[in-house]
Amino acid sequence: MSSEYLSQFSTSCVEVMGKMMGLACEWQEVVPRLPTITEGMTVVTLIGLTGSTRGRIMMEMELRVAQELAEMMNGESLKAMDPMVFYSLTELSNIFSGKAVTQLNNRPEKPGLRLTPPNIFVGEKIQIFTEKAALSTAQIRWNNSFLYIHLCIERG
Amino acid sequence: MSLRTEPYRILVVDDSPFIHKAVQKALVPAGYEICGTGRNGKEAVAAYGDLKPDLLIMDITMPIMDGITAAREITIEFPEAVIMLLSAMGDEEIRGQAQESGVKSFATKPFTNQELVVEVQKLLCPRS
Repeated sequence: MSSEYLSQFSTSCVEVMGKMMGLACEWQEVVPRLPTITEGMTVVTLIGLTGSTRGRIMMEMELRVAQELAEMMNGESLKAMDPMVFYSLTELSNIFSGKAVTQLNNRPEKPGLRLTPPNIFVGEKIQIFTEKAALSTAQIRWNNSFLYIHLCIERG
Repeated sequence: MSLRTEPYRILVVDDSPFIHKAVQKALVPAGYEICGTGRNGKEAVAAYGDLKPDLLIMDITMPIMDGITAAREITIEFPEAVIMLLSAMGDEEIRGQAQESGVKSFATKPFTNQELVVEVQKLLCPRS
């Protein structure tokens, strides 16, 4: 199930980035590695998944990439630590997660998934541990940039 | 029948300031006025009573009070309220709950400026 859900979240992310920023992205499942993968200053958004399946959806990227995406979303230049960079990224993760959950919920099995409001973390060497959860990771790539989506599904 | 000369006043409630800005960028050039913003359902209920906007555009998933609960509270007190839910979530169950809460329209994120303007026009000036 984790892989199936990861596919839905990744596909939604690619579609949303295409519509909001005109980016032609590709995604692929990669070997999951937490704590975070990216080097240096890292931005991580986190959304809780509730309903018949519980877990977390995390989006991780370098600060440089966060700034690049936020500038495209806003259509204007932003400083690296401008609060609008972080508001934009949390909304991006909220939108693609909402789109994915909507499509999963409309399947015949109707899992009744719901999302919590997003949180964002910024810093170096962020440590995220996922006890009692199955982790899967996808890389979303465009031009010379990339981000990661980590999906943690609680076991049992 | 007199023609309306002042702009329609719109209240925007979403926990993301990015959405406040995006809605403003889409609607102000089209002639609408953003009369206020809020970041949760409780603020929506309070601001609606104070501002009496022509339209409330509101998210669903928000802290403190969600948009469907807020819409229910507002339409009990103001049955004529025109509310559009603008959310990334749009499954059948949520759309059903939204309809029962009295909202007039349901739009999904992400949206282009043009898509949002068309949705707002359908609600506020359906013959234009």
